[in-house]
Amino acid sequence: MWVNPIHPNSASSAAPGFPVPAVTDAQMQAALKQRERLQEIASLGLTSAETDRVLQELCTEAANALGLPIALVTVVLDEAQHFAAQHGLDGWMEEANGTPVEWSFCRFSVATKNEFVVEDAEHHGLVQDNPLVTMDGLRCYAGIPLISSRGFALGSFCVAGKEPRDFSERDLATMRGFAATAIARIEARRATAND
Amino acid sequence: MLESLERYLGPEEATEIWLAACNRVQIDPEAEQTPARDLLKAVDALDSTDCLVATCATGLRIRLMSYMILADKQQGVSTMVRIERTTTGC
Repeated sequence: MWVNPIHPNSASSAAPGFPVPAVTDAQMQAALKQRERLQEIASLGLTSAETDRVLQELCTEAANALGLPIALVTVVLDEAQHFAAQHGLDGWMEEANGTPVEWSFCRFSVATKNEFVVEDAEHHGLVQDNPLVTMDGLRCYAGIPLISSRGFALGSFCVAGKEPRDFSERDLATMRGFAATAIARIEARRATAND
Repeated sequence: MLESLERYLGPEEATEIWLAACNRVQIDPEAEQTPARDLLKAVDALDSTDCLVATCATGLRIRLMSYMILADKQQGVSTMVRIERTTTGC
């Protein structure tokens, strides 16, 4: 798989304020399959079958605050993304509690450690062919990377919807606040585990 | 499956752990084709090993579940395949 680093003249209609991540397939694979990153996810217990109540509440608050149907705390593994908490999902994604990693929007945030924003997925070069767009109808997305205190990108705190959406700087500031709370909650697991 | 485990464990340990998981759920690791549901059971058996392996297993489980559910949907089959997971404490 090769991720197109999008030529400026491509069909992407991403807003000028939101850079499209340029990441090669090799960089993406190296980031996703880094042993130390996976070890960090394992040590934080982020793939536990039990959903963290606080993370769950954050998702509901974020969905309400942004006026979008879906909010997630994702953990991006090497082969799939896992939903550590979610609001608004139904159907197969809820049942599988994740997606194959190559369909994950959040993998771009993990690979680059930057925010990833898609205002209209049907016209965004990185995701317009993604089955979550073509089959499940996702159209907008904003994800903030969840970076641990040891510097590993674990996943992201994100919102998504089925209509195009202009994300304002205020929207993203709100998201950053939720992401900061989420990572603090996740880090608290480490403190608990070390007690 | 094995390839994913080898990435983190090395070939010998990965093979040993995968064979043990297959043995635990009584599937033939040498079979040319194994039903996805049987593979899922073997992946679940990986959960009882160490935390890193269990984390890898979660990724493999989600992949399998995604493809199984979508394939069944395409065939008009209603699946409520809920493989109960045990919490490993990792």
